[in-house]
Amino acid sequence: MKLDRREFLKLAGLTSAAALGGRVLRPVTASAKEALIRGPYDGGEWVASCCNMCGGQTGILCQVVDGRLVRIKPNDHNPNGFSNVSGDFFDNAAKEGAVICPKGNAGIMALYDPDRLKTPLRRTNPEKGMGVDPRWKAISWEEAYGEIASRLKSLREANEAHKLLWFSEDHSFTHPQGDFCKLYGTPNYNMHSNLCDVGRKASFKILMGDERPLIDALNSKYMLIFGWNPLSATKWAHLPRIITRGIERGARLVIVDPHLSYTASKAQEWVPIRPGTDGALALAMAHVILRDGLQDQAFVDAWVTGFDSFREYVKDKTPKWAQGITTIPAERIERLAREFAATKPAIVDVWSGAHHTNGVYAGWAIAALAAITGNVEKPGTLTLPNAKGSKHIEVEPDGTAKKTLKQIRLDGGKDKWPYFHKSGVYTEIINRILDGKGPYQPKMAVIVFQNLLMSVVGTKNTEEALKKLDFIVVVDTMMSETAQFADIAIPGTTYLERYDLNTHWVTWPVVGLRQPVVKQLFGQPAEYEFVCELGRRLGLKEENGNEVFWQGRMSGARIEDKTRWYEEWLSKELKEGEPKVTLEELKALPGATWVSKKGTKYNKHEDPIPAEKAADAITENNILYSKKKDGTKDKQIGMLKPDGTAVRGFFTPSGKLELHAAKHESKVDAKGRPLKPLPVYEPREWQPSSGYPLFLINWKEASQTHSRTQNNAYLAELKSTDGLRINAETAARLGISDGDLVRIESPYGKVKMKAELTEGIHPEVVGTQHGWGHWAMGRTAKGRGAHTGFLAKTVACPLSGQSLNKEICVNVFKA
Amino acid sequence: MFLRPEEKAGIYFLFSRLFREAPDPGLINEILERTDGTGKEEEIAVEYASLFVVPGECRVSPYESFYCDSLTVDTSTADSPYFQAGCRLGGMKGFLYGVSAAAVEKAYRENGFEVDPRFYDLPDHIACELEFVGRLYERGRDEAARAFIHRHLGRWVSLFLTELEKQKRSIFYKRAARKLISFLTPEGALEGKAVEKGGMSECVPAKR
Repeated sequence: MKLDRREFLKLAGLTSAAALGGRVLRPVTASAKEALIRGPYDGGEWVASCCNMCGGQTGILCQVVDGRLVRIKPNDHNPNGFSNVSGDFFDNAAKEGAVICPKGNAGIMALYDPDRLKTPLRRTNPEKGMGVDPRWKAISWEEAYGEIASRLKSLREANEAHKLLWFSEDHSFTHPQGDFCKLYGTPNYNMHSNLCDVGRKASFKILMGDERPLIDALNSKYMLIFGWNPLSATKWAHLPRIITRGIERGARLVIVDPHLSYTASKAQEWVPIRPGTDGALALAMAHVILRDGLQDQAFVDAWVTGFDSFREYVKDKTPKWAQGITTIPAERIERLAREFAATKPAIVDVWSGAHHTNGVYAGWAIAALAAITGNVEKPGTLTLPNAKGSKHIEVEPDGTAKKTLKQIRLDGGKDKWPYFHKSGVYTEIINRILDGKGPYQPKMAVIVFQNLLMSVVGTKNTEEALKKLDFIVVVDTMMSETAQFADIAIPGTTYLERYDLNTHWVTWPVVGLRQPVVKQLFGQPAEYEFVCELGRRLGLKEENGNEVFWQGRMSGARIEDKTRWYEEWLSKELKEGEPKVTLEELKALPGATWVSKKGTKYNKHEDPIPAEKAADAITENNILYSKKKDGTKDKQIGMLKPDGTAVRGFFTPSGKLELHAAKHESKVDAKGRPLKPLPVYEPREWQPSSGYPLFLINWKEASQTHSRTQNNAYLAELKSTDGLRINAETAARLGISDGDLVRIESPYGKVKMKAELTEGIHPEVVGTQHGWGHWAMGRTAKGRGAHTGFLAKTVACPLSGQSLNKEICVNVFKA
Repeated sequence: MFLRPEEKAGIYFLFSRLFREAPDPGLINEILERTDGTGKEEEIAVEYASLFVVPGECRVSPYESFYCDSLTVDTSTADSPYFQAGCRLGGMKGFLYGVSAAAVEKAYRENGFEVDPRFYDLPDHIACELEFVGRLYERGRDEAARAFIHRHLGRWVSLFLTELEKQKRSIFYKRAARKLISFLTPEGALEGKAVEKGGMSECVPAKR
């Protein structure tokens, strides 16, 4: 095609600014002129913040030059990247320096990912499904806000606010989202945790009344860890340091896992176990300890309840019995039990190994080992969390919201699940949307940084459920598999472009600040600003007329600028919380981290309750409760010891560690079965059969977070994909060689992967790293590895609502 | 073919507009010399989004940084088994907001402009760079326009347009690309080219 002067002139003639709808450049403003003179970023500056490549929130320092992030390094002032005990942090952090993991360094590629969503999108193809092109069209922010707000408004005006489902990440701006749901009137606010560790939370809640005890690995002499890979799947960046330092100081590390994980490879001992049988191993160890009188009787007498019934229960749980269940030789169980009981201080812990139907009881049985050996709340043991941080300021919904808030949650909530966690039960929500047997059919969903198709077990069910919703809004930085089901997709911000407060999971109170390191790349609102704008457009108010989404929480003034509005929100949470500083003051602290000087405390259960507090408390059955404003019973604060002194104790019904849970006796689980008062072993429900003879498990490693970082080019260079790990003997029996393409089938689906032969996996088990197998998300993520969610059943633990990510059986064929 | 600076400016503005967002029916009619643009609006909007907005198979990156800059992950402070294995990487191509973006932003400012925040996009977007050249021509600052073409637009626009021409599903924008090529050729803006170097393309500036 050749153009002549005439045509060019015609084109040039079209080009008055009005005809073209304006321009993208405008005359420079005064502030920018000033910046030009100053040279705004000359030499660069370092901004302290917190990572969010995973939920670990490690402290980071970000170097910004000319408005661009060029480097991320560890923030030595933030304990989360160094140690979880204060003495070690105060003495050594400055000398040794903190760490971040490879994902932390690679965060720069998440920020500048070429596949990021950058503008609101509307689908023009009403048909939804995997592989269906939504035929996206870019729309303005005004159009996006307008439509979402009007949909939400109609639902609320029809008294159907409860038919809005909200899904969010669990570490980022949860408060404004939860408050929005409350003020709007939906009880269906959900977040990630039920895919993660609510099973573990339930186990420890039963034993010690706290959901998330922490390991003091640095001071330990023996670490017995079930189903967790803390040196690689670093929940917190300090874990590799404190665990390896513990080993250097003489601790023995024993990893019980069907797979020889990276952590197992660094341990003195790897104990390969049949999946789902950890409870049986723990009970047999308890059997040996109690049979041989190796328990810490003084501790048990003072701080354990239900000891006799537990001892009676484990009487026949012999190592021989457990050998048949776990495949671990009886002699080895005997030895492990004696070693564990004899070496003090010791740690015993479990994480996502408990993603099976016996998981909560198994976790409780594992935790019971700590109780009977007195390995609780001492240096080098399992300690109670003391994660005091910012304070969530509760909002009071108005009359309209209250009407629909009274509706039962779609997943049945705490009436259905005895250890229901506020994160909800994703699998139950999917199942009820599908079968229509819930209390009502939801109509709309707002999904913020949750890729349900990749994270909820039973991918086909998730697909069908999403198709049944009338209107879906997805907020994400990437075009995730789930975003492809959105009616409107909203470009999100990375953690380098927004605020958050991070109450850190170390053994004393610490709050780290996440702050915008650079401007939001596409001028998009941070998610709290997005929620705030919707709240404003809907006119959401508290009962007393207070307009939460307008009112500055510090100044009380009506604030137009949504960033400033949120800055006041955070200041209030800090002022009312443990740090008692404003946001500006937190920014000015070294490393933008508030670190309590009080430090790590052990034996907190022995802490006396101050006399005036005890006198003011309500006492029932030797348990002390604080009072609400109206004088009624509020939270458990302590217990009375036999000598009448008031101490903190443990926040269980007895105030002690519970090996027998009396409260279980009148309760049933989500399937209507009576709860067991003891940490029983029962075979998990889905067992191998002739058609599907192998267990399939999955795990996490340092190279990726869940299913959300696979488009990061740098991380893909570190490890480009993952195959199916299979025991070499099992493979030989199936005629499979290393590198062969294999087909993995379950009753729910099939996927293909490359076989990776190894001696480092139990012969009855195949497994792979979770998170691969994207069919959308971006050019780097797409088409690497396989997604095992297709093979899983959409089911949760009937006690806790924990998604059963590891209860899958399959058959494997050479493809 | 002789074009006066203000005529050139007008053409830069038009192409800037076309790459800024999908055209409205009026503009479609003018360009296609047709009267049935109304029916085409959504089709072209979907084409625009699939080419320049939505990540996917047919996305053609409209940013200078994507073609010309590299991004390095500094791993000197990382604590990880992977690094113990000696895995260290140099720069990688194909990212957003590289040094080019900061440099063009500075060039705009030095000439009295900044990116309107209502644009909701990056300063090295093709629409910004084309408009900026137009703005310079409009003010009779031909030398500055040519210098910007030499330093920025000319380094990558040919890579961008070549990619765009390859898109099988594109109709409207493929045509626009061809028109832009025939306009930019005499401007000397297409002389900069990608040089294969170690498997990655590197941009070299146009000759002056």
